[in-house]
Amino acid sequence: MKAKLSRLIKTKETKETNHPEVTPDEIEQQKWMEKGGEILTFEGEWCVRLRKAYPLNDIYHDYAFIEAKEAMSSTHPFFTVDLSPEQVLFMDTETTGLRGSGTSIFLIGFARFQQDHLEMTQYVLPHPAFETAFYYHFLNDIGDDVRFVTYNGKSFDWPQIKTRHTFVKTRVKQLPSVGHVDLLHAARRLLKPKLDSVSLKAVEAYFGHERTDDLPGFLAPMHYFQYVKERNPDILVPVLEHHHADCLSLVSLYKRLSHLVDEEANDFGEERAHWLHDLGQQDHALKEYNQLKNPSKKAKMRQAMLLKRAGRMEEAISILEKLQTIDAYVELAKYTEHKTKEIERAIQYTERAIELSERKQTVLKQTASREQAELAHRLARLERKRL
Amino acid sequence: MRKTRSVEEMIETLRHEPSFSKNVTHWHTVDAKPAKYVPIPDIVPQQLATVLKNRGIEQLYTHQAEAIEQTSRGRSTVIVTPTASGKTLCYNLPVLSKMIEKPTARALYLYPTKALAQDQNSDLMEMVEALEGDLRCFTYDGDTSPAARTKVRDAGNIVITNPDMLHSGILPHHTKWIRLFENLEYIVVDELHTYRGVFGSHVANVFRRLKRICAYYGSNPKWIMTSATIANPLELAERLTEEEVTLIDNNGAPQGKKHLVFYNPPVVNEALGIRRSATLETKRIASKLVEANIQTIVFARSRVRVEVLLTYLQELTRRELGPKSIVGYRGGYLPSERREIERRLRNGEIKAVVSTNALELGVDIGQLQACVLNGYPGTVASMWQQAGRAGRRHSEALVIFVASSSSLDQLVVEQPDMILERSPEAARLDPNNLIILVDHVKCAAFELPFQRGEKFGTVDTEDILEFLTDAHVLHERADKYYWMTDSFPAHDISLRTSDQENVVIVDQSAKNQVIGEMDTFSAMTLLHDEAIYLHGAEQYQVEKLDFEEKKAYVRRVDVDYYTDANLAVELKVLEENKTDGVKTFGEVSVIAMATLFKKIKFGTHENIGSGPIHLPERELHTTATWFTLDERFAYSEADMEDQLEAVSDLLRRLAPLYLMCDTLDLFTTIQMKSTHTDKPTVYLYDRYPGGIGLSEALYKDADAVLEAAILTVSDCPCESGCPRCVGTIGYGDFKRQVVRQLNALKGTL
Repeated sequence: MKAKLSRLIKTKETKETNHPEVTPDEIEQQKWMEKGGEILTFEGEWCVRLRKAYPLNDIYHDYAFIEAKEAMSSTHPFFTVDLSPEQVLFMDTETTGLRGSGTSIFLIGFARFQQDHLEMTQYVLPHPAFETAFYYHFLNDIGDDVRFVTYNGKSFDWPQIKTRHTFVKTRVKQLPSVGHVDLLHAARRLLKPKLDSVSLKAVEAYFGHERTDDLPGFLAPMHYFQYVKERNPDILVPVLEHHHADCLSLVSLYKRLSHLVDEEANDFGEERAHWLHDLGQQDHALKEYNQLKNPSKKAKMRQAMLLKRAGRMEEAISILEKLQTIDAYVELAKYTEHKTKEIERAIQYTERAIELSERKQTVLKQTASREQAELAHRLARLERKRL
Repeated sequence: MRKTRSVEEMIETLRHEPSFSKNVTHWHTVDAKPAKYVPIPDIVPQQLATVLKNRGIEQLYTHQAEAIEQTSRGRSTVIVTPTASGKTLCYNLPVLSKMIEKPTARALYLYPTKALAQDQNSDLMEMVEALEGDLRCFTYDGDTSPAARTKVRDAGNIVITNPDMLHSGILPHHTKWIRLFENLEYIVVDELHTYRGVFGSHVANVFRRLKRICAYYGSNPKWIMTSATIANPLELAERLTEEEVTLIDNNGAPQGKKHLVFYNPPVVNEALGIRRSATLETKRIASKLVEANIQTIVFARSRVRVEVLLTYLQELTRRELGPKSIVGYRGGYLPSERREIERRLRNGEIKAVVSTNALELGVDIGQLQACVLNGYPGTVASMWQQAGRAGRRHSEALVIFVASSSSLDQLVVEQPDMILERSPEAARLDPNNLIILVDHVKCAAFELPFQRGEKFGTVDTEDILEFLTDAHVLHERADKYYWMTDSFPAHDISLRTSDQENVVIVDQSAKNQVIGEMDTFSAMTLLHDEAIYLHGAEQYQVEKLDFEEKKAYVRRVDVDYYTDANLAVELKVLEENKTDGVKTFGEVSVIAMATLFKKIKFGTHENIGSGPIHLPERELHTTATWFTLDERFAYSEADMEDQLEAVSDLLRRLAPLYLMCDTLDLFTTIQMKSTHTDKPTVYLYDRYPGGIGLSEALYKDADAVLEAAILTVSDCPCESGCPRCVGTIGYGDFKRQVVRQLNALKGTL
């Protein structure tokens, strides 16, 4: 049967390298301990925990770790954490693939503040057969109520943990109740206009921390498979280092991004204002809009709308008149028609809007013609009112 | 100009019109059959019975009632249901009854295609709504939005999907479907007869995976399956599900009167026994029906034939404005085009449709009045399915079979009893085809690690797991086999064809729009450079086939010919498995290469030019049955070659009749001096890598096929052989020699 299989299905020729003799668990565990790993056991299974403590004043990517701890009391709703800093995990995972029930997580790690240091912890799954031990210890260590600071973790890391937890749920704790601060979201809000890609690597590079000698992410599974086969922890070292750096980077990035939204004078004023606006913080947003040095038309329009809502009509009108956009003229037409009852002015504003709309070159014919129809309708109503 | 007439009037006219009736070899009528009713069984909950009554259903057909009773006793069932016999109630009633009694219960509905699933959903939805309960049913397919997916997973009592989605969208993500798998009570499989050949073999393995996942989550669902009339519904159901199944075939649905007319085009050349073209005759008959405003479906055997007929028929409506009332329907059309056609057929906007067997399936297109079959569709079951498209409800229906000059068609038209009295073919599949099996063991290993000694369905997995471990796909530790690569196996495995990739067809004359797709094997002969590709009665010339990138660039043209390509085949025997001296079953390696193509003029079918094809060769390892001929019956080497061709031609045409397969599933090739036997040999081999049981079945049933071949030749009125019996113009005692060869193969010399 095997001969037939080999004939029917051509597998990639893999060179028969001399695999080192399969070493028993004790030998592998010994190797991990030499690297400073702790062996944690559970029901005949085991996993590895690696820990390292960093002084709070250590600086990583421009910021001292302690500064991230302070940022947790930020006033910006996105960065605010409602638990004590010890319950916040700057977490990342490494997986054997991208999706599906057959994809396992082989490395979970997080940085967490302790009384007088930042502790970095990594859990290694030595073999897919030991998932129970792996999740048992991870879940026991993190407690029942935690907040994750991740990079795209809300849609990737956590769902994967849930999937794998399904397989061991009868023997380990329930998953804790969690909250997320997904820094990818913050990076998108603040950096998207400035960057093509907002991957963690690209964001780090933007702030002057280009990674050199780092393992490309897609190679991590290959290293893991090789490690499982050879039971040699050395093979996993580049992955552990890459992952370690990712977690520490989250601490620094959390501080950096919260700093960008808290600090009033910097290059991110406009993104910050829009974000606050979208979060429903209107007063705060308006303050930001008012302080912008070179606001875009979009920012000015939104600023005017907030002023209008706040009843500051005169300021709003002066912005709208300078804007000279279709939307601005429509707003002005509405105001003069309904509030000040100046029909002539309303007609003038509408006519200017129509003129702009006709001059506008647009790809979407439908949108343009709908807009023009609405303007024509407005104009017709105003002219009826004038009579 | 058009004069609307009833089907009944049309039937009378045709009966008495000499130019038509003289060519009719047999006029068969199937009498109307009254319905057999029984009261709604007590097992059906009161509220459901009320819903039925409100829909005008006071009693059930016998087969519907039995389906409910057997299912409620915990049996898995397969129900044989002809077209329009109320099959959806056969599964909707037991499923809904169960859910009323146990609201946490879940059911999975599988339809062979996405289109069918969407169609059936609306029917079920109405019942569910009328029940006013908390039941939810959802369709889950490639079109389901990500937001809706979560809801389907968590809240869908009935999930409607197709095998492909089950294979690549549900099973590999089973942890997201825990509620479904923990509470799965019923699996409904509609159109079971379509699960044969390669597709069936794949699906049988998907079902093994499904059962494995159910077992993991502790459920043991029962199966409710429905099938069209085939010879072996029970065997097929048991083979697919590997469960004990109860057969229900006491169909109680009524039937309208049906006229089956066997039409043989007139002979135009007595000496050569050449008849008028079946395609032209089909066109003539279909035009007559369309002009009388009778909604008609025309079935043609190939994509090319569909397009040729469509071109002819659309001439009738040339002056018509707006969307065409005569349209084509076949696999290469985009789904959106097909949905639109189905809709317009149902509401009667379309007067005629020309289709390949794509419309054989239960796609709901309402009732058509007449059906014209351009040539024998290849199987008895298929013929009945196509004929069933006419007169679905209670009116009289007209079905006209127009025979081509092929021997199989001639056999059918001259001896209609072969069809009318013969039980339909058996559906075959081979779930243990090694390549298919290994593919699904991979998927299964991704879903859950295998335990040493674990069976996959009924198969021992040890050798396969070892093989996959050696190939570094799996990793074994402590008697368990773990998935050890970063790929997603279901993504690379298609249930539908041997090829994983399709060639997309790009129209350069219309802003590089993609107008269709085709499997790579067919593309070799249909989309090579300079080929004329027909789509929607439009002609396109292939400007470049980029075989690497799987793209064919075409441009619209207007020419009066089509193209036909040759495939050169080199075959080597790898292993003999069974032999009786003259015929052998075993494994072969086939190297196929498209070599040249001919340009053939429309109408006259004359050859007006040719050109080379430059495409890489393709290698196929598969199973074959080969027949060794006796050189002593030939007068010369040339004579031997003719006999070999004749036997090969006969077997190729007749074998599909017995194997219930498409003529394209089984290929033949001949060797004058076989590299294996040293003798003149005819090989018939499965087109799918590893074989799907067709050539093996042929080895077993060879005598029946050979007997049919003998009859075809000896009953033919020609003297020395003609295209319809021996496939070529014979000479002297050629026919006698061919029959002698056939008898020798059969062992009855």
